[in-house]
Amino acid sequence: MKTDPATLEIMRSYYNAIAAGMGHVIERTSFTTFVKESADFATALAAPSGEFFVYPKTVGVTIFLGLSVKRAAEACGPLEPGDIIITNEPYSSDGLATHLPDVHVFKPIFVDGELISYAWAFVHCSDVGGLVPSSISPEATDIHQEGLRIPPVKLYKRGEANPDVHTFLNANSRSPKLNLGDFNAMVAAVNTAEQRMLSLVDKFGVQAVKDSMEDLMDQGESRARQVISRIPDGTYSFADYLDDDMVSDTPVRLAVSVIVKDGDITLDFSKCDPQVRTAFNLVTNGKKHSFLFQGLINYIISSDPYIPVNGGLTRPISVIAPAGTLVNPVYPAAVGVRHTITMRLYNAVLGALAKAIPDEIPAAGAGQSAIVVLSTPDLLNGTRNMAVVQPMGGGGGGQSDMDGADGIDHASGFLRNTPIESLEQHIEVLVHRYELLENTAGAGQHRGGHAIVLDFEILEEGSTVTARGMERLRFHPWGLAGGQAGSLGQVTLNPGSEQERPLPKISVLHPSPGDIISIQSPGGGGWGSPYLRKPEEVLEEFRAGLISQEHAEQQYGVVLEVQNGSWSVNKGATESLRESVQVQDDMWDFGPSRTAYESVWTPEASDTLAVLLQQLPPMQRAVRKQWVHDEAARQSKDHALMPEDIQGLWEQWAATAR
Amino acid sequence: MTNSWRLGIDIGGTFTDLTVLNNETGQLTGIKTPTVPSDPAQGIANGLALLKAQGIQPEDIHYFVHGTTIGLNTLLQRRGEEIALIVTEGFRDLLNLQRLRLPIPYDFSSRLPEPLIPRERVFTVKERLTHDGSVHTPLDMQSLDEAIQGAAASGAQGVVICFLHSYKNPVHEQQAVNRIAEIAPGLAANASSSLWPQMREYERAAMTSVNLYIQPNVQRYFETLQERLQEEGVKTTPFITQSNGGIMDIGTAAEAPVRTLFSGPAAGVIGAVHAARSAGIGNVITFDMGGTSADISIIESGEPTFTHFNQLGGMPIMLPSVSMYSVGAGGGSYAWIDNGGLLKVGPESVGSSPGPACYGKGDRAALTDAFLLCGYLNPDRFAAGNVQLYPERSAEAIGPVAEHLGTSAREAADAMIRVAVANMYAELSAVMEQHGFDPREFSLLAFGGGGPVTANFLAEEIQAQSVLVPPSPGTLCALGALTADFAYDAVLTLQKRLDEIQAEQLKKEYGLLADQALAWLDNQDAAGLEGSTLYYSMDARYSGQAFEIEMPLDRQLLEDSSGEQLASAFHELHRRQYGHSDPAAVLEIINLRVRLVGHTVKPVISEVAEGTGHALPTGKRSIIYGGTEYEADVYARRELLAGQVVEGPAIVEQDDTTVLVLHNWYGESDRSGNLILKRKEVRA
Repeated sequence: MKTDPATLEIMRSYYNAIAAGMGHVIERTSFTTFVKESADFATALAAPSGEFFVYPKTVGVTIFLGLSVKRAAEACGPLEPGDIIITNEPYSSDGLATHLPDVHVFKPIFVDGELISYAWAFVHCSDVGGLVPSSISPEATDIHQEGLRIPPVKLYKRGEANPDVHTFLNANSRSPKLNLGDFNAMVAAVNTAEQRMLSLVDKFGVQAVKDSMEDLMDQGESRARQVISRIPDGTYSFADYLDDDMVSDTPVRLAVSVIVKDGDITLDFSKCDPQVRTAFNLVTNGKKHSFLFQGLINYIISSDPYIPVNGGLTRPISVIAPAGTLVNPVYPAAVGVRHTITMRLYNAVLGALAKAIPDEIPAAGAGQSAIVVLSTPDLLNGTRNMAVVQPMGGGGGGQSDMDGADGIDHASGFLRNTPIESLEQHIEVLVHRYELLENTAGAGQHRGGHAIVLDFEILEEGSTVTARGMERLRFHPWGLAGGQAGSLGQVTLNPGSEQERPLPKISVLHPSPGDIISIQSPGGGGWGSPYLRKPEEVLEEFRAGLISQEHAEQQYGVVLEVQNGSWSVNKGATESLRESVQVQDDMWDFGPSRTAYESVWTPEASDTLAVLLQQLPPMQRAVRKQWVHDEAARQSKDHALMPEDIQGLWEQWAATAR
Repeated sequence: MTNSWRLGIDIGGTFTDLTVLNNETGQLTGIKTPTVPSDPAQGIANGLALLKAQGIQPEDIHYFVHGTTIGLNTLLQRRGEEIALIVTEGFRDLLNLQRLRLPIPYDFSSRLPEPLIPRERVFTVKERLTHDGSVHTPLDMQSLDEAIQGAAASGAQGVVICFLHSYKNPVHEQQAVNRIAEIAPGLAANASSSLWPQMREYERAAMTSVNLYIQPNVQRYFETLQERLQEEGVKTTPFITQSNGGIMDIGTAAEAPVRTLFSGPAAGVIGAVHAARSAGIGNVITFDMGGTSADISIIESGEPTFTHFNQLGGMPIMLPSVSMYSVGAGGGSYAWIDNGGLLKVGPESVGSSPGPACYGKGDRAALTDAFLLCGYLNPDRFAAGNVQLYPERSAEAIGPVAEHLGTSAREAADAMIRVAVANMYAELSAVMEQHGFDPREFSLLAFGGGGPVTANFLAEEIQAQSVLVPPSPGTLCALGALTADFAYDAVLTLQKRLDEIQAEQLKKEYGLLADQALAWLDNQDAAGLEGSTLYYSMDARYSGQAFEIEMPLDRQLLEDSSGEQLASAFHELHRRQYGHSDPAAVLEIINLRVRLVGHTVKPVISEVAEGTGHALPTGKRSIIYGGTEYEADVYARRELLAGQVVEGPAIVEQDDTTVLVLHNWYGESDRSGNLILKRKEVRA
């Protein structure tokens, strides 16, 4: 370390003030509601290498900390003082932007002609054109349907605004004024940061500033390494699934091998499923991208809460992501709902780590966040009113030292709900129920979090409902270390009435006035055997109405009885029940549907197919994967498929094609 | 000298401060006595005995204002009453789900704060209002009775009632309260709509829960206090300070103790307002550094700023209060080395026991130790000589830190202070940026034990115009209590587009709020007010925006509150606060607010005699900061006369604190006894 430990801590405070200060400028001056409602923006300072050396924890979203402005800066080079770059384009920025509504702005900062830093900001803007208002549709099949692509270009050149760029941008948004407000907010933010960096250089000298950036990233790196070195060396493979890709029923499999060696971690996605035809793809260009390992980052920061948060944290991590897979799709794959896949990657990476250090890893939480949006016609103005009814996360995973959080999962723990009163003032809807749901938490020594149910009544003719990001309607959040899987999400029309019927995963619903739509989130998986849970804790949750008497007995082996109107644990019966049952000491509980699916599509079969598919041009892979699945079903191969079965089907296709 | 006194009391964690003011002469006297945590009223009685010894008789106290921390501590220590909650069917988890967002989303062990009422004691009732307040499902008496019986059987002593949209129409909540009185008269009942009828069901329910949860403790304390005061011969009844910076009578405080939660720091800010006015300074950042944290508040053009939302112990408090923000370490925050070898100060604190190492009991180096090692504090004259400090214990405690840094103990102490100040700078500048204030247009007003030692460093960092140190920075809260006005806030959630509202309707609603406030003041046991003022404002936003801003309405705007005029006033305000406005957008009015201030007679405080030229130092001390050693002149604050100047580097010692003046700054005393520090370069 070139900087002494006191001065480095002082510099860290200053940098943090500058980076967080940019965030506050955006909070105050941006136009889009995404900033104020869901804090969907971020700011940071990058070193000349392009890595972020300070990334504020308290402002905006944390997931971008491992990204780099390098490729986007190179694309615009050479850079000069006063230049400001704008981009929203994943493919030409190495995934700095991950979908088109995220517009990024950054400014190089020079001292005497030498580049010393970049000030960076992004905002999820209101609309950048494309198929649907606000630009995100799961069913987009290529990126051009998702809006205007802005490859890295100069918004300002040597301090002068570039009006041509503005003209283009304005012509390609449904809400150009809102966007312009957001761009201006980001420009104000990076300009402020530049001034404050320069005054820091005045105060400490340019060398001290450069040294301290490096030292802070070295701190991030070496401390991340300290945490990682506690994980035993080895290769840990795991996979998790998306229910489907919206255009077929075939699951999407995210397989990862985590290779730990001497404080380094490699995430190998060589057996991950191919890119899909819909908008779930995550552009990384094969680079180390922090969306791939948010779970790992959270693990590191949870383990060392005072670690300087910056790109140095990701230095011990490397990634193998072959082109054409979901985690490195090639142009022009659509990318709008990449958040869905990011959340499942969170489960997949933590699942792999759980094989090494189960005591430190939570069971799977709900692993999804369905943003339930109601749209009603505004007949007066000929437009539509829109409101988020609620963001529906679900229970968190249990962990070795505590139960999972009820109704909210760490993978989407930043979500805020909407007061029902404020929602009903805002849009025509009547919410009937917004509560935790009993018996939905995965049982365990430390249970998962309970699911949430949301029932709302449609009041207006012509209302529509969407819920992008809805997942885990088929595959349960897994339980760990003997804990049970959490419950599935589900959608029901008119629950408890004669018209009750189940609905599939919501794409777009066109309900009638009077219809009640009931959305149930998944529950979190449990951690540790339920038979190890203290009977008094089971009794307490029964009293709280979170579990039924039957659930207590069947899941936890706790017999409850009532005497004089007061419930208590029947200790004798509980003991003998717990003794009589053969405790399954399975590490994992994946729930019935994954077990059933994998009894045919074994992990080996899926691995084999994923690797074979890499022989094809990326855009053909999803189609061929579907064909193999269909053909396997047609030939009613309901036994466990082996790699040679897949090889056979693969060759059969080649023969048919000829 | 007449024998008529005002008494202000502030009970802190360590000391109970009594400030008495002679009504005639304006003479101010401060007294400190240890707080008696098990029986705070005893601490007051002890203080009264000390006053008596100085010739101030209890029966001569004609005005008595008191800030209480009983409610605050009851909440923070979770020692409140067992209570139940009755909510609308379908929303049993109002308190469990909260607003969902986890406090630290990326931390696996981060959880939402535990509600004050467990799910087991939450009961649902079949009833429903719609957003305009009309009845969608009438209150089902059978399910209400079952809920009440359930609450009674659960062992709860009180019941909170929060139904959806009750802020628009309290009818069902009132029916429930009445029914509880009929069938379970032993249960205390608190309806959310009667406490604070503002939209947002979770916040309303949680805040009402806090109120009922702390109420029995607060009431018991008030009873004890009044008995004890009577025994001591005090004839007047106490007024209680509120979070909104105002006072109320003790009966009102007992009804709504949730209004007292932030009263201590709020009184400090009111004291700061008084001091800033006396110094003729309008824009002030108050900087209160106590044992565990440093807190700031913003005074703009001589008026405190308010916030409509606060958090305490994880609970949302949706009431207007004087704005307050924590910016970092206090005197007890101690140094440690983190996993990567970086020097940290705080957030952990040594607390009042064992206290900083220099108190002789603990072995952790706190900021107070650093101040001592750097030469700012006089070990023999700390807290008026009541606490002996041991510099050798500080040096010993800081040893490991110094060793890690490879420096002397003194240099390590200097580094600790720089780390703490840089962190405060970061936090403070974040607060200023969030609100769009430029710190260069403000002065720092330092109080609390550690504020005046640290303020000059911070002022230098933020480029503040000056540092104001009031005459008695340790007892500013008590002074604030003495000078506070009666204040009452009322709210009505309207949530309507501006084009859907008639000017007459607005005027009528404001009239009702004003009547409510005036009735409150009428019922206060407050004689001899110098009139009262009503302040009107509305929370408004552009339709579709998520956050509203508060727009003050002057009399004229209220009189002819036509849509166009309100809109143009809003565009102007939005442009001022956020740098842009959208004249084409539709306005939405969320809440109407009225604040009533009943002006108490302000005491006249005696002035300091005039002096000239430079003050005479009482000695010299070598001090260190920023890595450089200085010979500082030492002054006694009580000897400073108005107009006298102290040149930095200097230390000014007084009973309740120590002021540090940097080498490129100087201090000047004014007629009110304020010491004002400024940069030498701006001296004419």
